[in-house]
Amino acid sequence: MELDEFKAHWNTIQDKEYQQQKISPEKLKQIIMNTTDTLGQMRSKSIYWRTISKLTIKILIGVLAAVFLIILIKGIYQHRMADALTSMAYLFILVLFCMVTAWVYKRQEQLFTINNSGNVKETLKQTITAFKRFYWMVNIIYLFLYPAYYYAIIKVLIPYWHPSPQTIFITCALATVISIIGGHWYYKVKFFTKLKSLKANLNLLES
Amino acid sequence: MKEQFILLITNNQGLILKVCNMYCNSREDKEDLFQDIILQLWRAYDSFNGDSKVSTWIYRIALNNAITRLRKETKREKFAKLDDSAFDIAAIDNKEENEQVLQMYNAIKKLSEVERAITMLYMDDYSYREIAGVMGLSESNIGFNLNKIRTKLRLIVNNG
Repeated sequence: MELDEFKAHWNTIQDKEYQQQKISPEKLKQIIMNTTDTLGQMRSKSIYWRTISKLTIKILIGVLAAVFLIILIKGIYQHRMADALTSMAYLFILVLFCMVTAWVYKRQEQLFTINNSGNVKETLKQTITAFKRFYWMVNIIYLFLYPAYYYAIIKVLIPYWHPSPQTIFITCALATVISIIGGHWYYKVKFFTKLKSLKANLNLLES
Repeated sequence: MKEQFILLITNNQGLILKVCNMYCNSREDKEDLFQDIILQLWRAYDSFNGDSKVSTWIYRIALNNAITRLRKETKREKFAKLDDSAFDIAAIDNKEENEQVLQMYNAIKKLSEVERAITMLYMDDYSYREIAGVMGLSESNIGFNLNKIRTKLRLIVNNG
């Protein structure tokens, strides 16, 4: 059977499938209401969380400022100013790392649905480009952030460990390499197959 | 606005179901895709300005969603064959013809995602111009692609 002969049966098949799977108006209304309400809630939640996070950041800055003042006064009294400033820097790195990671996880899921209203070719191009750009950007950010993060972790969470600076640098470098390889493996498992299929579809449209 | 949207989806649910059937094998995945498409349509509803037919707009968003979305594929689903309902689609009395129709239907499901989209639009009697608009190709390219699809389908059907 040829495609054009099959075309004659297409509507019959679709009608039959439609009758089998047709969703009742009540159920459909329920699905749509749930979906639109969910989106509405997500939007209001997003506004809510944005407000909350702004407030949290303000509180955090306030607390950090207070802690900073305490450390500063303590440092002045004990004549250990350098220690006080270093502790603050470590704390800042840890907070920054958490914020960047939270953003990365949120953003990577959105990338596959944000460009949906153009034509298929345009959507495929935008999705692939956005993902590639995001992937490289994340790796570059983490290439600098991981060593600082691990250094801060060692200094803040393992204060009784006093290795030589060389050992600390090697540990940080190793942990960074392992983390980046782990991250690459995670992206490979979760996103690369899909990316490959998107590229194949785009190649087909461009050939 | 929500009421208008509900009416729009109610009148066009057949089209969305068609896309779900073409891109999913299991019932769970079809339901997921159906809801994803509704969500994306609702998101884009504000910006729909009537430049194209409603059905073309729905097709464009539904196909974009079906092709680019990240599927929550379970192991069971990964190895699942076509849903049972796919084998109960033909409504033709002639057994041999029925068999051929099923073969062709299954062959279309084996095409690449983009080829399936072109085939679906062609089956639904969209003009080359409309298909080109949805896919982002030229009209001549659509003709070329359809010829390629015809050859590919012939091969799939002949090789079982």
